[in-house]
Amino acid sequence: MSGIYPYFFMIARWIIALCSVGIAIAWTNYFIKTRFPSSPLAALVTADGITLDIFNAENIIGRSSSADIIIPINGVHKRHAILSFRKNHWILYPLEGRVAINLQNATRPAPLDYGDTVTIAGQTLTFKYKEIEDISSRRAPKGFLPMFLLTIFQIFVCLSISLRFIENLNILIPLSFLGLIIIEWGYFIISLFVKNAKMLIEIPLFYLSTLGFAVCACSLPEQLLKQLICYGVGFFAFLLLTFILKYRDFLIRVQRIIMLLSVGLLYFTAFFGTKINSARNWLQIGGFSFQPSELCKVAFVLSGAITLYMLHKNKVRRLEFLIYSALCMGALAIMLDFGAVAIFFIGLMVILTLRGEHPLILGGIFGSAIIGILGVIWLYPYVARRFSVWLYAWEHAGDTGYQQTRTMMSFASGGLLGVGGGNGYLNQIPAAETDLVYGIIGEEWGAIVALVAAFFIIAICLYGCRLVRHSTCVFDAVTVGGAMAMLIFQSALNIFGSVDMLPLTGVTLIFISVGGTSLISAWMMLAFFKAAELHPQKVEQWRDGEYE
Amino acid sequence: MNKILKRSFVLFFVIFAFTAGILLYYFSLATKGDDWATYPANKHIYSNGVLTKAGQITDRKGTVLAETKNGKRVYNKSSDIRKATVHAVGDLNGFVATGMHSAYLKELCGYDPINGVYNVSGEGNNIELTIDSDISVAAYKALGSRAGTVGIYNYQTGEIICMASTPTFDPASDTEPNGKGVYVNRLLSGVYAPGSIFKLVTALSALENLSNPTDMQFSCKQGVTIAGEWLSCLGNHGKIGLDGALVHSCNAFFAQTALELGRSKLTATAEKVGFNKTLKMDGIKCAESKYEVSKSNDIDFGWSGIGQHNDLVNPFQYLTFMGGIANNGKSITPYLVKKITSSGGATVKKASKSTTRLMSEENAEALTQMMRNNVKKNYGDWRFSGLEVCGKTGTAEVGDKSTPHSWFVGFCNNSNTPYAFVVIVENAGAGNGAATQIAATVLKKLK
Repeated sequence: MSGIYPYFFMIARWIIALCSVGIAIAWTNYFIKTRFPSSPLAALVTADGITLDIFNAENIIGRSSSADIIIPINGVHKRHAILSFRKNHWILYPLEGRVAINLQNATRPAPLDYGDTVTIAGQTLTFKYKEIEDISSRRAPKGFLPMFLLTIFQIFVCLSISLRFIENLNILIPLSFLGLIIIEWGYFIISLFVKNAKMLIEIPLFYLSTLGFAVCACSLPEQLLKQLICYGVGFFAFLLLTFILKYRDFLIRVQRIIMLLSVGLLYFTAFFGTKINSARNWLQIGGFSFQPSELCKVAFVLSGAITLYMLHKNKVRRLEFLIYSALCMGALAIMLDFGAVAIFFIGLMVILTLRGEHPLILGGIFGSAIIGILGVIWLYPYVARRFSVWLYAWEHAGDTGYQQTRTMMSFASGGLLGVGGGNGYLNQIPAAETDLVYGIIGEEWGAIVALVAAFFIIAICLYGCRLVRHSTCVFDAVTVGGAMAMLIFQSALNIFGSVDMLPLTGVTLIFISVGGTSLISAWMMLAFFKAAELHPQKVEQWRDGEYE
Repeated sequence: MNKILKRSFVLFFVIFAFTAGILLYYFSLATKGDDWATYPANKHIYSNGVLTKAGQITDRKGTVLAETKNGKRVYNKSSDIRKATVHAVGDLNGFVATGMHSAYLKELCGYDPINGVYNVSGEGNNIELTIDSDISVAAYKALGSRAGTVGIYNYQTGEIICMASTPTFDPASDTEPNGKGVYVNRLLSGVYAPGSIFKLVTALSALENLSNPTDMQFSCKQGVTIAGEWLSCLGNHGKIGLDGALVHSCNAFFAQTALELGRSKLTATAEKVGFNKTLKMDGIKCAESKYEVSKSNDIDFGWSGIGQHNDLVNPFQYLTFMGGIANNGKSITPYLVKKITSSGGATVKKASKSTTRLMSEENAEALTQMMRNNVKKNYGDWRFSGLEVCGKTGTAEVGDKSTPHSWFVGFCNNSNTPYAFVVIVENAGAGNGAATQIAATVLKKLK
């Protein structure tokens, strides 16, 4: 540490903190001002001329107040029929009641065209096309300001680290940041021409990635190349999965294969995997080691959503999914990766809640989870020790509370603005770059940057909520909801575990923790968001005449 | 679909819980972050358990009391200075909780909530204290093997010149110090029965509340009967007024004055001068002086008016009281930290004067005259030649078998030596003995 660096960082730490706050504010503005189309896709018109708008791609027609298209007359069942848009067709499924299309009794799913009539309990409704509300003329922000601030932030983070290690500079450090900036601007410019594409998940993602690069460059420079490769792989997987997610019917066909493969991989790892840091959740193939449990999160969310697709309560598929969930968590428990078990469990609970499972079933699953936790504590003393130190880390600062106290101590040492990348000591503790990474951010980049990082995790999830509420189909709602719950719960386990607000479980923090598989997995989880964001385009394309 | 959208509230709940957790964490960081950052395992501040990133602690003349040299924390070369100032400087184990090494650890290490432990030079801050190490040594030597404390401060500026407490120990020595309460700074953390020095409070209350206090007289026949019980006095003073009663420290007079004033008025005066309150010196909490007579019977209340019964005095509180009398009724809060500077020389924090009015200017003047009279007529002005000392002794009974505590409190009524002082020597007999002698020895050094 000599020469210009101390003076540069004296100013840079302010710029980094101010830019971070600026990006957060600019993102919020972008988020608030971005509008989603909320016009109906089609409508059913009664003989009296009353219009029932259809907003979703899957709709329950019925008397129940929870139905999407409510026909409150006698003779209509609570869940009379389903009207859904699939394979570029509207299709009517009779459910509890009888329906007729163009006065022809329909006992099986049947296509419905504009101008057709639907008869339900003696009432005849006409299916009509609806003009799309054009929202492209509205001035929507493009996200230039947050992108600009993000770039300044990245430049100063990069310069701070490069100058810190100037005497023995790893050329990958400036190159990796430069690459990140080029990729994100290229992506941004292409996005400007893609209909419905927004930068609302990408800006938080790039911000968190910058911190991840910084942690890796300062604490584990020898792994930087591997991290960069995984980042690229993750980005590619993100694009690929976003693309594949459009083909729902394909996904339905391969669901069982996905489930079998992922469970198989988990059990293979559980019995033949490598133990690193007390959990046997690593698989080594050639020179590469990866964590299958990370990839299985993606498979899990996907499978959960497919079982609910089309609103069909297919009992066989539901049972399959429940067994699959149990098997996944069982394998993770055998690996002693209890953090991952908890994440899968939260994902399962959210997916089941969105599915509308009976509260008794939810309660039963929750109850067995508690019994499971008690069983684990009884069987594995090291887990019990983590629970016993929980909330009392300072009293066990020398042994079981070692990591948590060091995290808090280091975080506080950084103040609001941080001591600078490469100047921290927390990274001397084993696995700090993954498990205690929030402390490294606080120590080296300060409490403001760490707070903005937490804000962006919340931001991704807030945007997820908005996607769920504006989604036109169940598949999007469940994938985004499930992925979001797992991401935020995982972040909570990592951050709060490292500062003694939850038991320390050793899970990763999305995009920040050093580690290839978790990076790829985080990218893929966000593909669910991206696919839901791009989805409305599909309906519009069809309405523009591609429908046959 | 509609149902699913309705159920999506569960997602907001998850987000809310996470946000609440983050806010809770930042709240703990804001309230406890300084303790976390100064934890002895922090390599930013310590290396191998040695406080390496801490600046110098110097006295008012620039004498270095403690500093970090070659990765070690070292104290002044003189063992007398080390022992005389250890309660102000503190030890590295944090046993002296009120010392700079504990109470001002984060300032010494240059920690602040905005920058954390970061600064450009990588070094800690320097602290300049108001104490004079030579005066402190004189006080420490005067106290000798007896337990007690000497506190002296400039009542015009608030600077504490002397803060010596015995028994003491050598912070540079590796051996465990023996002796009871060596880590206690008796000036800040001690509480003692006051004995006759409390008569100043009773006298002040009389001046404040009674219509004709200077003409008022009570009779003393080697004591007085209160509610059928005997309250003894050391002399047979006959009919005596306020001036004479203070000079001769007449118990009978002040007990009867207390009864004349009543519990609430005397308590009000006591609380005005700092009783039943936690005072702070540079943010460091002091022990509390106690005056609680609401449930006492008449004889106990009488005893409380002369500083016995359950009265307790913290020496630091009395120091501020003396400063108040000396400074025309306005007490300037004594402070120890003169200035904190960064290693580059920039001022991080400077002491600021805070003033509290304890009594009116006239009553301060009247007490000054009476206390001056005490010295002239009773204690011997020749012992403090040229200092114009105003004072009051106290001999605090502490049980039947123990020797009483010896008190001497007061100030120099002189603009050349504007010092207020408190001296207490535990179990050393009459106030007009050990305590007065020590005060005279130390004050002479200040001339």
